[in-house]
Amino acid sequence: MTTHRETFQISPLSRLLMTIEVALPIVLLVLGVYHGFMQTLYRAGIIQSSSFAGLGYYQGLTLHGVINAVVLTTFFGVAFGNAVMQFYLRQPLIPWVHALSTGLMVVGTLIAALPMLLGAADVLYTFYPPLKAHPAFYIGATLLVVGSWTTFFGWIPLIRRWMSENAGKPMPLAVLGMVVTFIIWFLCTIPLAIEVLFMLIPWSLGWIDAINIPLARTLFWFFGHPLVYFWLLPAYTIYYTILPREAGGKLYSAYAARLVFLLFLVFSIPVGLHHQYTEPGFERFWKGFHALLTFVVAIPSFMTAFTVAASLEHAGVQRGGRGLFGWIWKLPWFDANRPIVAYSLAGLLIFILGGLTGLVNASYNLNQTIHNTGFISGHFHMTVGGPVFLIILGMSLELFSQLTGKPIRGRGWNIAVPYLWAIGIYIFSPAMMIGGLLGQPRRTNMGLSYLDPSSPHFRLDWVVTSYLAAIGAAIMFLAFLIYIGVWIATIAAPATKPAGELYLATAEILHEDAPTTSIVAKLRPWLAIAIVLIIVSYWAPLQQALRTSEKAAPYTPDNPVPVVQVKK
Amino acid sequence: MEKITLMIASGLLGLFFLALLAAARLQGINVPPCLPPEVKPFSEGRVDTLPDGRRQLFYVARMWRFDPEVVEVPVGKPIDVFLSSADVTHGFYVSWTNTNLMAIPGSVNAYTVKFDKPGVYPIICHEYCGTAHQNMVAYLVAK
Repeated sequence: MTTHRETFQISPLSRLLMTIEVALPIVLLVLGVYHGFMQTLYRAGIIQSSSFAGLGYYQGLTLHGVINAVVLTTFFGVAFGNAVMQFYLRQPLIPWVHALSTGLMVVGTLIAALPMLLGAADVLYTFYPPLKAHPAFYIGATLLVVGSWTTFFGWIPLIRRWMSENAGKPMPLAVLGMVVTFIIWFLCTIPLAIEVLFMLIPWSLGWIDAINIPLARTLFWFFGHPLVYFWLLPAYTIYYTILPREAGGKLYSAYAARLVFLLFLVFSIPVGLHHQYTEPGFERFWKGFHALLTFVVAIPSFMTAFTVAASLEHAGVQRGGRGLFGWIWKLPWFDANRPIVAYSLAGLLIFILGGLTGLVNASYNLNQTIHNTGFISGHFHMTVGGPVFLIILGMSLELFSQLTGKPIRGRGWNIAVPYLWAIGIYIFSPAMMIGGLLGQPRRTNMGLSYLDPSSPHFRLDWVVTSYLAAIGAAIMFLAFLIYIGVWIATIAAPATKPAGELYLATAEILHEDAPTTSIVAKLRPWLAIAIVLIIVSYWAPLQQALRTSEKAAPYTPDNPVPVVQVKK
Repeated sequence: MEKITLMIASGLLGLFFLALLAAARLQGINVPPCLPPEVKPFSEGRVDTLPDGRRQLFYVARMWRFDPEVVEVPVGKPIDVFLSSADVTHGFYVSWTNTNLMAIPGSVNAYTVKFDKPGVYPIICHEYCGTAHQNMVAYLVAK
């Protein structure tokens, strides 16, 4: 792999569009993170109300999930992918495709935001039917996803041209990472599109009376778990390419990195039933089969832990680290000029516990003790709320700085953000997880019942963990406020460099990269295995979901009487 | 070095998976079964006692209560729980047990619970089901 030291100048149009892709979700995130913090106050009984400052608990929970887990991550995947393609392929994006994709995503986000802000879509980010949102919620979300597909389609001609002009070279590692990310995204959003276009939208418009709920849930989770890898793989791409370089070392093995991305391509989709262990209607064999595959998809994450740690060890030794652990202290943890190192390392510290608790969730019958409890929320705040979120924060600021030519201001404050966040998470998540083991439900306004001492349902055994979660969340919220302060200072600063000069630090490789004849330099065989495995693992569960005898009418969340009556 | 590490990690995962299967097979700790499609959803809760004395509880989850709300059950005896939803998706988690189920419209869920100690066991709805979701609780009194 060649090391790119030179920058790539993007067009003014691309600069404008990418600035929107990076900045819009950060603006929305203010609302999303605010309500993350507020939820912990409701849950601890510090707020005993169904709403605060004009926003309902479940309305805020919907905003929190949709903005943080879907809008932010999708926009970042697109923006970072656009940077990777232009920088490594040394080609501009196709202008009309770029404009169309960003336009669709922005319009879709605004269309979906309106019913959420008006309280007409309090259905959470999983929007499980038969709870029904305003049709604009589903239509806006569809446009967001179609916009992200458009981005991906626009990359394909660029990649093809690069391949034909660089015969004999393997695809740049970051390009492979983002291509795999978007192949997974495209494959897994097809069933989601089927659920939304053929079931939820016509049903929410009143064109059809009733839909098959187990089928809708199966299509959703066909999408819902690979979504996790759509969140993670851009972060992994940064761990493999930018982090080793910025830490002062080399990537330990490019072969391993390529194999990891390809294993994710194969195993990240046929695992969705592990979200449905506690549901009726699926034979145990298939729940167990998805459990087994979920264990297999942990292997590329373990390999990533190994390769990233080995790369960091190499970096620490280069910097003078001695002995078994001496390299750790030599890493540039607090180098204000290399903020992505701080964001990455803090993310990795969180991910250790995040990854291991994920294995607990995947563990078939063990899930009986923790399903839908606070354990789940505690876990995924250590994955999507840990390394993924921190990498997105750190890299968004870096991209914004390059797109505008403005240097990052408040650099010392900037590197405090990830560590403060990590401290907050290490209080919040264990509190949520222990609370979950004590039976605390997730997604519940507990201040109105379980954490209200005057309620007959009061649970004294849940008080300590609920308060600890709120303390952790307060620290996380403080970290986010500092981050927003860094953004404002950066926006206010004058540009000191030409705007739109992209530069992605790229680590050299310690062991030789794979030749193009190697199996890890090919994409099609892995894609074929992935599709076969999807069909094998989902054929029977979908048949079983289709056997459901009764369909369900839509309900709004505030009314036990259905919107339309269905004859049984 | 890399290969050994990879084999140890994969081997451990395999061992964990076998432990889960062993718990399912030998100790009967399993996920809910798939009832045949002939078992139709029901719309009223009830308590049955089989001729051999075994208790069967039929719960209906609806916005925002469980039916029946309070049931007395014997300590130390297996009790069959069946669960239907009358409207939207609900959760059903008997505190301090493995009985953790989803109530999905159009289908019937099932599990067997046994209480080793007498006491009051809250049943929590742990799936968001609308405005008053946080008030949806029932109780099992084990005597």
